[in-house]
Amino acid sequence: MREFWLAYWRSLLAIVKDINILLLVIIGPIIYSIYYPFPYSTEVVRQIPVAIADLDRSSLSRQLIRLADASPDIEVINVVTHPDEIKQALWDGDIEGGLIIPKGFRKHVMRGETAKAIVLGNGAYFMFNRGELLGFSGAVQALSSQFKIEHELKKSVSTAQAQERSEPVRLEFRAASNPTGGYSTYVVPAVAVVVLQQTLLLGICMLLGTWRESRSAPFNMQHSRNRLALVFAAATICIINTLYYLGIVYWREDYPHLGLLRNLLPLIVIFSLTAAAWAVVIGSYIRHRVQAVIYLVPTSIPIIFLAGFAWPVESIPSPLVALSLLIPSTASVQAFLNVDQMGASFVQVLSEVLNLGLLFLGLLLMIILRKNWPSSDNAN
Amino acid sequence: MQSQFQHKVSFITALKRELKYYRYNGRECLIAVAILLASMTSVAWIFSSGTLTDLPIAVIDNDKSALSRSYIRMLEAAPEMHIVKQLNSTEQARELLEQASIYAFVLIPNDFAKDIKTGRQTSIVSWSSGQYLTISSTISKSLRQVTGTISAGIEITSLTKRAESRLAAHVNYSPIQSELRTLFNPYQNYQFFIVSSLLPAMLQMFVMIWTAFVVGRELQANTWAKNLNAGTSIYALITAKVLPVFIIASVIAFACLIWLFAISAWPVNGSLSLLILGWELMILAYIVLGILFTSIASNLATGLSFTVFFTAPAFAYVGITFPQHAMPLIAQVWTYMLPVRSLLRLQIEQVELGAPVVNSIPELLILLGFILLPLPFVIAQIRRRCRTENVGCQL
Repeated sequence: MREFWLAYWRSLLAIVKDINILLLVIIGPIIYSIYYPFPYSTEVVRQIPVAIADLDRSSLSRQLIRLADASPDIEVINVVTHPDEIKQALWDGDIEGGLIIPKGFRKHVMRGETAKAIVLGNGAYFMFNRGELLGFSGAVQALSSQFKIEHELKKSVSTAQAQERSEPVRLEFRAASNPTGGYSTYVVPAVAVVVLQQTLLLGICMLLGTWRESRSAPFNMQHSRNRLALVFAAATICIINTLYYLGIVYWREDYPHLGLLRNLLPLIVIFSLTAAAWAVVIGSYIRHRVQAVIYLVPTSIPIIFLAGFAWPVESIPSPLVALSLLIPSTASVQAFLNVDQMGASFVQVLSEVLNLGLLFLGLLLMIILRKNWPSSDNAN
Repeated sequence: MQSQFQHKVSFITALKRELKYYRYNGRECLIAVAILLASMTSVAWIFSSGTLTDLPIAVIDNDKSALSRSYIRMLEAAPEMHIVKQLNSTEQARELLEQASIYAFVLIPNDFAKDIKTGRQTSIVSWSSGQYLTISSTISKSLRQVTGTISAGIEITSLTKRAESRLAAHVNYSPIQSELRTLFNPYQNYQFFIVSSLLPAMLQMFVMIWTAFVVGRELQANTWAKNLNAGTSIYALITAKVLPVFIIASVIAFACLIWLFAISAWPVNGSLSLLILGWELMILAYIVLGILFTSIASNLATGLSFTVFFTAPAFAYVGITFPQHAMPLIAQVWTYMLPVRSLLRLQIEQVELGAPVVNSIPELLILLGFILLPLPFVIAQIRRRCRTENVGCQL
């Protein structure tokens, strides 16, 4: 047991003493914890710049422009007289969408015919398209229901009844999690898990690569007990980093934080152990100090999207889903989101925990059985 | 003339040395390219379904009337959603929601049918997982459509009952309508939206990291200092060093472009040649930045670490998934420091907006700036590195 702790401390020491490894596994997560949430810190996209082409120039079209301007989703920065001006402004990047109020707009309404306003959504940016649709169609609906209620009033007893009749089935939206629909709240807690896993991976690979290159492992890696000590040392760092994210970063960024410590702690431990064992297994194939850095960085992009928070698991091709279970972050992202952001209990994420547990056991088996490890000839 | 000739000779010697390296040690580069291509393929494959369909939801039908059942059938018919369970209690539904077995549930109230028949307003409540933002907003949009349809049907029936002609009832139900015309990517296909911007994001990682690696290794091993002393020009050394990187990256870039615009056949509304030029300039920009980072850093590993910090999270700042104009001012300014942002804006202008060439000139100039502005400093820095390290050797 003494040998185990000695190897454990020597691993930690080796990580802390090498400035470049420290940069990856400790300073990296700290930099990311500030850099990643920062662009999203406004959380929602409001006041999308738009223009309106008013071809009708009537009292009604002006009323619609006022209603559109009042919407928090869009900001009418220009009212033009020709649709081509909208196109030009889109090209110049001055506006991101627009509305066309066609000629005869008011006349149609007054004659008792349906009048149409045309919303031009910017499909090149999905967030803009959604916001423009919400803003403009909200304004159009508001204008429309004024007429509708007026019309209903003629046939109904009271204003209340007219209002009810004008919309017989109402749809109420309630969010069970992320109630404000924040973008940062949606992206960062998921990506954070991948960041923690990938920085640890690159750091441990640099450590093992250096040891192999210069035959300088600070303990005899032929003993599987010492290799396990390395896994536990890496897991220790990962636990501290994860606690920093869940405890400090999420609190500072004001994300919903529903997880109870007794549910979260076992999750943090199993995630960290699996991520550490994963890093050590991959690291054992690394030949030199920077090899993992030049190979593995682009893989973080598919790893993020395989986690199923941005694109649902149900829509990912099944061979990829099966492969993605071999990456610790896939089940971890789901488990952390469910417990911490959505309020699930530990029991509810048992299938994810089981996935991680099996993966951890498999990785441990590889660590114990593999014979080819960095040697310690030149260690002082 | 003499010196020009000498430049040419020293460039060819340097290039021969590079090619020899790739011939005998090409495995390393091959693996890096293979991993990059595997990552790109996975990303394209992840989004291959393009649009979100059959998202699992649940329904709680407290009314159990013919009308509620027909509403449920309409929900089931919507392509975006798929009802996996009919539940009896909200507790059960919330539990499924918390563990992401479903992304939303719809609650049909008691007396749903009765209220409608008696002309009272009734409320359907939908609970969704806002944590899965893209998914829950797709479900909300679909629910709004289905509920709007049933609501309209009911009101038009009610108006016709009150002795209005069917046509008049249609008009009076909704006197003013909005018609959405989504300009560019009209079906809101995610595969095109996200993959076309993730491919350059992955390519920039490879280009900058690989450049920082091949150049940094020479500086680390101090081989360039010896070559410089032997009379090889610094320009020949650098050009020969990065030329293979440029060629490899260009081949990958062309493969991406062919996949996007020939095989997947996404339409290009603007100039394809401008787009190709943009990709090539982006590659060059990251080559220059790669040399810059590695020549400033005190050693290879540090240079590479900073390169990773610069390229890996860049996608968060490019303004594709979260628009630039909604970011805090400092972040908006910082995005201009990322060449991939300029390329992606140019790509959107040329592929989707179909903007005239003149509108994309600013982005081209920014990319050129990334190539030309750091260059004198980069050359000076490498000269300095080679000199000081030489002195270090002699000591």
